Amino acid sequence: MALLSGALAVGNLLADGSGGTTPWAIWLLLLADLGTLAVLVKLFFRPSAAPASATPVTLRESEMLSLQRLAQIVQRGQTSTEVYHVLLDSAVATVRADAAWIDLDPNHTGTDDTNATQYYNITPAQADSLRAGLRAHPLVEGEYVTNDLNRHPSFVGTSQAFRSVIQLPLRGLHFSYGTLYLLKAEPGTFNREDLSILQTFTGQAVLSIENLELMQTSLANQRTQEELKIASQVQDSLIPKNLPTDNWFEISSHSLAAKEVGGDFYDFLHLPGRRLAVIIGDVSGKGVTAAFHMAQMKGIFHSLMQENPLAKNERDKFPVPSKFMAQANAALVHCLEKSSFITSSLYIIDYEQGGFVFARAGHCHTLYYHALREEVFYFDSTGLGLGIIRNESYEKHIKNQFYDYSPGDVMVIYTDGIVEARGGSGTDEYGEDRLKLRLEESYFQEAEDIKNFILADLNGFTHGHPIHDDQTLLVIKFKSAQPLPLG
Amino acid sequence: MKVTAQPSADTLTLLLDGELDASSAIVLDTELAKPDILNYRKVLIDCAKLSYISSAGLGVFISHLQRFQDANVKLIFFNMQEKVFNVFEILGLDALMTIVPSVTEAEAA
Repeated sequence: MALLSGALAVGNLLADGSGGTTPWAIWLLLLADLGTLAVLVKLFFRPSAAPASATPVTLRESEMLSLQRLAQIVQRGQTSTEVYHVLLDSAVATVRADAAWIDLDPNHTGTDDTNATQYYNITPAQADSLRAGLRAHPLVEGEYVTNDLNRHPSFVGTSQAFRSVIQLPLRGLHFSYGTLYLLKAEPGTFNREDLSILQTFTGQAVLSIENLELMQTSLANQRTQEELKIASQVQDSLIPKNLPTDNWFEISSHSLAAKEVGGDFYDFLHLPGRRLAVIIGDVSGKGVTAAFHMAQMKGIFHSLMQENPLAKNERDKFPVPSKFMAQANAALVHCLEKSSFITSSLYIIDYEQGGFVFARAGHCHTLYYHALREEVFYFDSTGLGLGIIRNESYEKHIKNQFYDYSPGDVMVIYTDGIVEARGGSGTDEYGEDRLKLRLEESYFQEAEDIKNFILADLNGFTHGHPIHDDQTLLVIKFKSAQPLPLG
Repeated sequence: MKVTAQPSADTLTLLLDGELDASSAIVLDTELAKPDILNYRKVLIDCAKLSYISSAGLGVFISHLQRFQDANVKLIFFNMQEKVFNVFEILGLDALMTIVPSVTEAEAA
């Protein structure tokens, strides 16, 4: 009870002290939190300064409760429809309106589906006629009060069921949410305090709606983030964690996506006869679309690299790289958008023959260190990316290249996210030349150390720049050791 | 990026100025997607001021390649900077598209 009389006194104090202009922000602040209110009451409330007889403007208990209800709707996670409902209820009760309705702005797509008008004690037809008449002569900024509707230009000389009308827009920071109409049968029945308290109500209602929308947007974002996190985990599971091991080679790998998910991929497959298939690829574009195609490409790799039981000899049991690319191209035709393509290189390394065969489908040139010649170079081979030509003529644009390796040779396979990484002024690219120099300085190290050496240099180069494309780097080093015994 | 179209009798020349990436690719796509572009005998792409092309930029040309071929419209690139040519070459597009050194060869093609 002490708290309530305190609130009355604060209401007095504010209304009197501001000379008629009500400081809404302070009211809202006070009313948003009863704890704050209690503190302020302690600060400002002096029993002697609040004589019981003087009550020009008071904030009644019911009004306070209405405001609280509006404020709490957000905390309880209710809907905007409920906010409008409480607003209509509170407004009607507070000014003792005979009828009322709320129009919701159809241009503002609310978070609820309900954009329906809420009516109290008035038929839609009556509301239509009043709305149309009021709109025909719009006055100041949508807010309009009349205590004699018969003086309004649209209604002069007509007989109206309601003579006192308040029209209040529900205007937020960015949107107009609608308009609140309050009606009384008798003329001259609305006063300045009625308008003031209604402005507070609509202000609080709009605030609640905006908060609700903010909450819903942030919830939706959170869900999207969660989904992306799952996608990222799924994609991570597609990237081989256990690199193939054998005495005759070392492999080290690195991959980093520019976004949660990416379009780079690589994979390995042991083939019979001490052979190893290594594939790398890059789907054009980034993000979710690229990630789907990346997963698809992995599927294509594993399904095409199956043993063909009809093969006449051992070496034909698995497709040669050029054949693989032609088959992959044919498979991708049906699912790749017209403007998308995939670049890929497939290597089949054969320890027994001491050589490898590869096909380059538009992918970055392979960097190679030749131990006997002590020379670092890029393989110069031609080959068209996948998904560019969508018919059988693709086969003419892809070929195999054979190469004999020696122990100590190093092969560096990567995607363009490495050589096109930006640094310096932001337009400089890391480049093939710089990558080649790093291999010239590090070829004698283990595969893992060569990779780390290149990455450290790359990170130094791109320092301070965001990565704008997925990066993949594989280093394969051939060793002189004998292979592990078969079986 | 800026795309300037210069039509003449049977040839349309498109001047590309700037970086052709995912965002600017839309501008070029709109230009190439116009139905009446197929009324020309040749479409020349002047790449003198094209400083960069991303995979999205390449995708625009790739997506229209078949349509141009079917309509018997020649698509010819010229004045290409070395850096940009390398991108076409790595992807293997140099074997698929006509890329010539200068406007003289482009007009003669």
